[in-house]
Amino acid sequence: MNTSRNTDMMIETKGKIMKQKTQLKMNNYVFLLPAAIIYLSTIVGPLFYSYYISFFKWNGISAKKFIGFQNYIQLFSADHIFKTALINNSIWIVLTLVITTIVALGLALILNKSFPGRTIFRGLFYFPCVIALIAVSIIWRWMYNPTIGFFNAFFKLIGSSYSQDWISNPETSLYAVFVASVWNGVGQTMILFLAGLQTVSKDSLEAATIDGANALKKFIYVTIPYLRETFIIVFATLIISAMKVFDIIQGLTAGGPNNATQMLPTYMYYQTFQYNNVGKGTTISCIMVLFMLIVIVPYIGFTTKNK
Amino acid sequence: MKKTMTILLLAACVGLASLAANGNSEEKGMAQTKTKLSFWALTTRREAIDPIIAEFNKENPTLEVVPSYYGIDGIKDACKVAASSKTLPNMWFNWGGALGGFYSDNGLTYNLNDISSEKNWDQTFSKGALNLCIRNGELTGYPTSYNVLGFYYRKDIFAKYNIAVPQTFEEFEQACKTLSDNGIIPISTAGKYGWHVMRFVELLIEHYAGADLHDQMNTFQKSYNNDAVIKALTKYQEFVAKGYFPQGFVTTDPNDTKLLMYSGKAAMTIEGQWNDGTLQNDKQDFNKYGFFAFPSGGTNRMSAFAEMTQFNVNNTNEELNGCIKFMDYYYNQDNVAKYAPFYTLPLPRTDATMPEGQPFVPVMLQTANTNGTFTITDQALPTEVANVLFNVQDGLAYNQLTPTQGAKMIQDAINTYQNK
Amino acid sequence: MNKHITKKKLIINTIFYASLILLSVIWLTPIITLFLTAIKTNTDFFNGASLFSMPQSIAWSNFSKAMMKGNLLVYMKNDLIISCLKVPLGIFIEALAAYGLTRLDIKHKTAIFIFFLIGMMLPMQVALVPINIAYTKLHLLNTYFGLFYVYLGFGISFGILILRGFFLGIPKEMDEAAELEGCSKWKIFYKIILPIAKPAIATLIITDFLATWNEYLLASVIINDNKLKTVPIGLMTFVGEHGTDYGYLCAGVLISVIPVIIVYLIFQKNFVEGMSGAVKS
Repeated sequence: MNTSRNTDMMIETKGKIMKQKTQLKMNNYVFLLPAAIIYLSTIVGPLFYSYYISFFKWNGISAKKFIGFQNYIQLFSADHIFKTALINNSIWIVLTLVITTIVALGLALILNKSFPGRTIFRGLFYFPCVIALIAVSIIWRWMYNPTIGFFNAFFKLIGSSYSQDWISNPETSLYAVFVASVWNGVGQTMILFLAGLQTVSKDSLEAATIDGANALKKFIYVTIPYLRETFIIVFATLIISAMKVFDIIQGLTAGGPNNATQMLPTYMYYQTFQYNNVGKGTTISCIMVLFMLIVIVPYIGFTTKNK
Repeated sequence: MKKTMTILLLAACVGLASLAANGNSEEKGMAQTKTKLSFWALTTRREAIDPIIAEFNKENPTLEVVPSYYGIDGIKDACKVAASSKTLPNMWFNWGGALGGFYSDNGLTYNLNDISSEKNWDQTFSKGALNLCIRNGELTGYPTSYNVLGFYYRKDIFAKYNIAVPQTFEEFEQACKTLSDNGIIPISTAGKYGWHVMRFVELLIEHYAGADLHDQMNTFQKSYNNDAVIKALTKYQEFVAKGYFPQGFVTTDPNDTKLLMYSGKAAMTIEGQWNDGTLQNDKQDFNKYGFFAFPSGGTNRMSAFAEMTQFNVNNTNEELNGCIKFMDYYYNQDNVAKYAPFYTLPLPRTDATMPEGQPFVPVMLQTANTNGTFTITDQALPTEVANVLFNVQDGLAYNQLTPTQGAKMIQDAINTYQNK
Repeated sequence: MNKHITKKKLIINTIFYASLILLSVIWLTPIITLFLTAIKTNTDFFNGASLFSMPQSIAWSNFSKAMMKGNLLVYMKNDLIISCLKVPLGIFIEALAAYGLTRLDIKHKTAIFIFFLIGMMLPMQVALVPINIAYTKLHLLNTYFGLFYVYLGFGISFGILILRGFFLGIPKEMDEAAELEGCSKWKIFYKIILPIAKPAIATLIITDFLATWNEYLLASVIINDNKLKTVPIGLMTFVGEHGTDYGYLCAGVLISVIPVIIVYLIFQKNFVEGMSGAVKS
């Protein structure tokens, strides 16, 4: 009697579990729903629109003229400003990945230790990020002003005859603008690292100390593995923001002098809004997205697999 | 729980939507019987425009002007976006030349030829201004300012080093040399965006090419790749090498050129007659300043440009008449007298009064009338060509290219533009 | 022996603090210019031989002018409304999605994640015209709802990126322990994952608030009505046609920075809790 009842119950429960499982699977997708709806309607529409326009010659108003891949071909083969912008952007990305990461991680490590006044220092180093970019541009323009600016005045003060044209000299201008950009952006990356450092297990660190590891070994073998996900976030963010760099360039040099600081986003802006070559301008942004995908997707795929 | 959260989220969205509705409901209630006229203007003139609009709306109960304000760069972008999405307002501020020409070339502006003859505008507005607003035989906008450019110089510095106002190009060069020898920067200019430096380069081109060839080059009838341009670019490069411009001027901001003039570190700068207003605002001593037209040769023509208000081609008769009525009202003598600092004075009208306390304005306008004018280069040339000129200016300053290459680059850009 | 160690520690501490202070001063030099300019009158500014010269008198008028004539208080109020609504709602939606992508049985998680990431790569200028056309048809121009919706959309990529990263770092043992106790997925999300991810959420609040506060491009296209404008657009109006009143502009910048600093100070405390709190629970 009991056995048959038990079997009945078991069959019932199995049925329930099966039903629950399918329900659960549907419910899982509900978690993605709000984000997906908003995302599809705000981003995906313009994304497809931009790829569509890139196949046309269009000034934004009159009829569009279908020209297939002409925009892409013309940019890569005949447009030397595009090539300059592409090279400048690539240099900028490499600089950003290397320098910003090192500086931000360094600051985060220092400011992660427990010492009085830590909050104040964290705030101080983050403060430049908070200022509106229009002010950042103005301030650094003054800093770099060859006649009355800070840097040249400082050199005069210490008796040196060294003087630079900083952002005006085509050879130094990209790097000078980069310094301003690091000053403005490093705080952001720093707080990402700070948040990541909170997940490093204190127990593991203690265990390593007991095992006799010095600071460097602890950093490499304990801290860095814990920061793996943080690195993904940081690299993806840095690559994307370096690719899209616009405001600081436009504010300091407007792409000059003679395209020394011309980047893909600024060139896209000129083509679309000033030269009225909307098709070409949109093509540049499509190329930018493809470039970012080619760099980031393998990186994420690689790190996700190696778990 | 999930259900509660979803409901809460929806409620939040609805709450926001009602926030939005509140913003618009006031206007909806009143707009039933009025003709609404949307007007896009520069923020820098807002302190005058807001009260004037309030008065106008009161006096004209069937009309309602609704302003939106933008910055200098902002309004260019906003208009482009609006043009592409077919949401241009009833009337908007624009510059003349290639900038405003884009809208008329693409059939977005109302052709004012009929209205102009109907209202005898050729007797209301100055000839120079009207000419600059006409494109392909069509009057594309309501002229709102007419600007001529020349050299402002520090009289006291000139006097100190016994420099007379140069009457020939050679005298001008000599003046620069004297100033430079005495540690003064001869010409204060700034290269970001390119157009301030262009003000000098175009004068050099006018000097070496002469009036006729210059005009023909700017209308693409003659090539830019010629000896005159090469000579002009060479002379410009020479000036850079001799330190006649501020150090590292290539990316400094044009808004800051006056700083060097005010502190006496530089002696000359090229500005338009609006600079009198700037000097007034900055409380500078007019006795220290003087003006002269650049001795480029021939009649010493001055560079000129206009600003205008353009009207939407889709305006109904009612809307168009309303817009013009507002424009006439905005630029009437009472308002100009009341809000003088916010207008570019004098108005481009035949009955214009000269602004008070601005000594160089009448001098410059009179000189422009006598000597004649040419359209400023960044309005005469399409933006993509002008930008190549700016690149050439930058490149020459750092010896990245030669004047010969520069001239060719400009002509190549013109060729590319024409084959678009 | 003890005295020796304390002395060494003292020296190290002093060097540490000294270098940190020196570094901060160098780091903040540009901001000192900002302060000095904000408190100078125009006469001082024009006569200033160097931008670091001290002002003759403190120009409080720059600040009052920025708030009154520049309508800065109105713009700040508008920006606050938008940011305070958008940031919590946005983070919540992103957390839901990130949770789904890391802990639930969904197919092609990485592919979906990369799909969400593309939003970050799209340059905003490209979206201007399509959004303008769409919003004109839907009568969403000049509405906060319209601006809000677009801000949510553009923020999703970054939020999911960060939260997914942090959720992945949380060991799955906690989930399994809770499931054995009979918790639903939703409860696990709400009661366990969210609290552990506090450092990430705090970071995201600060970052997102800052990004929304300083957002210029979309706001300039969608909002025309002067009463509704936000701070970055407001600051642009301080730039003149033939010259900029720098004292006025710098004062405006300093004032507009205050709310962001407040948000930062409130939320940066949450960095410290992290795993230690979670392990205990």
